[in-house]
Amino acid sequence: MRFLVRRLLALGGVLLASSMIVFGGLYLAPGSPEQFLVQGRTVSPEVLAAIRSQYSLDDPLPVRYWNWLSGVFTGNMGRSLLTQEDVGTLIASRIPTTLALAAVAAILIIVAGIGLGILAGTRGGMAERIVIFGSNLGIAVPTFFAALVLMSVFSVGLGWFPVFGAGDDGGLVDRVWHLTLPALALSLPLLLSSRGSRGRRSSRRANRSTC
Amino acid sequence: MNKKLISAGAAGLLLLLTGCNGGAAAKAPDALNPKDLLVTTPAAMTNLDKIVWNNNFGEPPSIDPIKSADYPASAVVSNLCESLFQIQPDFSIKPNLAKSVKNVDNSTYIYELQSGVTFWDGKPMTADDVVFSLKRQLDPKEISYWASDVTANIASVDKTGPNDVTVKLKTPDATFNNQLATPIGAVVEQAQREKAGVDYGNPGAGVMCTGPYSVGEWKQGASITLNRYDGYWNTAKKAKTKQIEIQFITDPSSIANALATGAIDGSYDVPLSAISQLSKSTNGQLFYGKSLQNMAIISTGTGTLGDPAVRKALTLATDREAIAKTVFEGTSTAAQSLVPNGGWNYSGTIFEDARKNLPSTTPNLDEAKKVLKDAKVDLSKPIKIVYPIDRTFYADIISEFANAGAKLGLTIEPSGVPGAQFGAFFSDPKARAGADAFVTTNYMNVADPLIHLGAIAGPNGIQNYSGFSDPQITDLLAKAKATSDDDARAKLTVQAEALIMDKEPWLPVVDSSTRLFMSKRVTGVPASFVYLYYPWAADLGGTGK
Repeated sequence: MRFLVRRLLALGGVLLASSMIVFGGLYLAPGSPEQFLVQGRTVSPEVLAAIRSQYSLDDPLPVRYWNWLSGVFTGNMGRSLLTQEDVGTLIASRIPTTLALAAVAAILIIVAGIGLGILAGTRGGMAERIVIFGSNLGIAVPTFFAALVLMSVFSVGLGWFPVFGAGDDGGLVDRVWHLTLPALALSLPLLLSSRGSRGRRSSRRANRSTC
Repeated sequence: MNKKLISAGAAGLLLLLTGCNGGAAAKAPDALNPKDLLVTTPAAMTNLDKIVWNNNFGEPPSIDPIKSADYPASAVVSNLCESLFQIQPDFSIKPNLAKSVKNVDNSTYIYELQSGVTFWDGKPMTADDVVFSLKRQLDPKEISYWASDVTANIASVDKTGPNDVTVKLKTPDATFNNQLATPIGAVVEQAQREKAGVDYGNPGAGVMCTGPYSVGEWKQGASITLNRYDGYWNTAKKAKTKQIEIQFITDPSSIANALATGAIDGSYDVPLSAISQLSKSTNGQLFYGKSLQNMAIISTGTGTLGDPAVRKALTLATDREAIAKTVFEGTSTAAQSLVPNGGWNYSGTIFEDARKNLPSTTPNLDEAKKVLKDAKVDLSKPIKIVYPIDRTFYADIISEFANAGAKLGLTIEPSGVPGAQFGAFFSDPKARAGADAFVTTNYMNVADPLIHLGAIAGPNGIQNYSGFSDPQITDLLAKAKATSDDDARAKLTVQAEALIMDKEPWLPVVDSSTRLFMSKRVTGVPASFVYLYYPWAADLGGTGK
């Protein structure tokens, strides 16, 4: 229990420190926020002043950070500089797809990773070599490139999967159909777990032989 | 940022892949003839229920017309919110929500409003809505991205009759009506604007306009659906397709795949890296349209490149025709002026003839060396040209300039900065400090060379980044602005153009074409560069195939 509390406190500390760094980083970044907003446009000084006051940009950094932090705890995360929209709404509209993608990828990693690991560990020989080769390939190939190849083969070439979209109109099947390729690309490097399960299996076998 | 870097990398790899398979990517297409560029595409034959389009520039940050000042927002808002005047596919400008205009000395404009215009909620557009909308430009709290020297020149906006609005200017401006074809002249419903508060233009509160399409479902981060407005006032221009779903895909290879497979019916300005794949597509066709876009290198007015002689010499020595052919895959032509070729909607022969007296785009090293002798700056200092690092094609362009510079004894240093930081080069003089120049892909809002040249080289020009000022040019621009007769104004404008191109505040690189792709299923949109301010989606319908 104490371990859990300690961990949670540490997590809170890390979150606080990293939010400070990110917030301060925005402050230090070249080009001011109001210049970022009007990018590519020369606007009158009055307009720039209006933006500064709308976003309280003239307050000192600690005050701005405190305003933001107290806002977060009361459920107000502020407004996006880019879209002038409530940040909570912005995040809420994107979170279902993110979670669904992570879930499909996690299922793939668990099922395929462990399954392949068991296959390699129990069968050995050719199966083991193929799985090791596959998992090495998974680690070596960057995700974006794997995604490109998967899309080129399975979406454009074979037409089995859609080329874009998150499938948020249809039901569960449509959702999974849209997320399969992205999840596969995402999970490829992590299919490393197949190596892990195979590794444990073979070391156990090694133990047995020494007995 | 990371995502952008990855997509750029992915696009590069895709090019390599297609290069290996087809061998077509390596070969540059033949040079484009500006005379072959299209204005329209074959007219729609049938009405459709739904068409899926893509906005390659991404999601609009806001759909408030006065905050639509760049590709992502303008390409969507053009179908929603209308202005008093409207640019046409042939670049001419016609009265739109204004039915007619009375011009007194180029400084008082009396607009008679179109009758029978309604907002999407069915309420009629009134003179009060128009006065309110124009005055939004002048209210700093509204944060208009269009507030500029043009709007600062407005002395008053008043309702002068039940259906009349009068605008008085501080100094005469014959181009003012053309400016009203941009969101400067956009009309929104006053009551809804006031009710929406800070959420105005967001997916939540949206806008209330008069255009042929209204806002349907806006799926953030994914797409926005436009629904046909059946009460649209201009019955002749009623939208042909019931629903247009506009996707926000920005990754070049995803765009190419979506278009090639027919998952998306069409898109304007498809990525350069998609050209070779799409030109072989059996699913649809690439169209090259007349454009108002160009690419240039903007001098900050400081450093070695701050000397006009150095700028001229460097432009003369650089093979910009090669840049057009290779970097732009033959979809561009070398630029002779900062006014894109064909970027005019009046007195065409005067503007065309003036090109004969401008320096040719064929590289001329001897002439360049001669011009460089007039330079008064220290030529040994390197010339730093800044570009957004995620747009790798800029690096290729700068390297062509560096090759030419080396032949002249000039050192050119490309300097890539992250995209977010690059934006500040256009608005923050502090960000520009230390750089000699930065790149731009630019466009004329409307096809009026006088407006464009005034923005670049006028004393308070909205795109004058170097404090460029030349008494003779300023005088000519002011005189032209006060001249009503088109031909007389054009003659003054080309005189200014010649002087400006002798000083080159920006180095002209290429004039673009509009790269439009449509599937075999759909047709009708303009091929020319009017999609930022013209309701292109209303023309979009089926081919009957």
